[in-house]
Amino acid sequence: MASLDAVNPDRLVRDIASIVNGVLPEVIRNELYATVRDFCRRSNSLKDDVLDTLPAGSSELMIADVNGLKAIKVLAARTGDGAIIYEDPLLRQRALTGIVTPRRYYCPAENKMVFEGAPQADLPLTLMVAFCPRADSASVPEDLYEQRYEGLKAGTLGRLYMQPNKPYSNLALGRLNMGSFVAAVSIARVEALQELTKADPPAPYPRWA
Amino acid sequence: MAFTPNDVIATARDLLQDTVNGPYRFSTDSLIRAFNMAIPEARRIRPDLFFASLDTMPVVTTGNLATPLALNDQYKTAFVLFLVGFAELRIDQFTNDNRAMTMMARFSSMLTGPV
Repeated sequence: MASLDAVNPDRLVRDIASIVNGVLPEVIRNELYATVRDFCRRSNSLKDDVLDTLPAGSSELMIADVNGLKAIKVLAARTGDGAIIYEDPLLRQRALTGIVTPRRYYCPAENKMVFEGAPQADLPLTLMVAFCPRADSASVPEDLYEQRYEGLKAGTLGRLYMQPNKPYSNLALGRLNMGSFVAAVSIARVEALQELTKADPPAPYPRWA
Repeated sequence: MAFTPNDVIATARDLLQDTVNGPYRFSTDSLIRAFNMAIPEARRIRPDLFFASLDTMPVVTTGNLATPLALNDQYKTAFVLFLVGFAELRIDQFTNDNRAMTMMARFSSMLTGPV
């Protein structure tokens, strides 16, 4: 299970304060929170399994916040018997080839699932859900902080350097750091997807070798 | 990290060479008025300095001179320079005009210019 607990990002704030001239700690934190939200939304990398139950006779499921984090995407879903249900066509194509299930869903809102039909009995579900801090949230989830420290640092630095009319305004450094941030997001996004795919088949050993 | 209006006014008096209260050449009231000009000016060009209280602007009065302002110490010098420049603007001597303008310009450049 991932850890979605909030951590105190003091170390990262001090790291940045020692680099950027004249910046205020509260401004660093503000940009850090924006960076965290941006990172989560772009990469879907802040994810965790959520156990939930679709009640009998109902076809809608609202996914509740976890530690103040809002569900933004259901990456995968399994029923209690292990059958996979799915929505994402990319995942279906790349990862779940060959698995046939009549159960499907779509998400009309980020934290709402609507299923094809309603179960006759309560249907326990294990959902892999991507989360993101809410817009008014001031927290940094532990998983992201531990695993994507450098990405968050680059994103925060980039946002600070791109502010106008500050002693630390620097378009070139802003672009450089935002580039690093985007690269970190891309890596995180790919890793988040890879965890949902099957491993490549072993390469066949050449007959003549 | 925060500084009080008293800190700024005392340092400004050092630069103005107005440290003897017999009475002061630049009264405390006039320096307070200058301070209350500096705060909105800083708020205008560096809103992030007032991040904690964006909706309200601090006002300096004789009653809160010893109360720390919600402003970061890094920018204390800028406020000192503004007070000195503003005070010297009122001196009716040509030789002081450049000095006053330099102080005022330095206030802006300390807040917004590259380091």
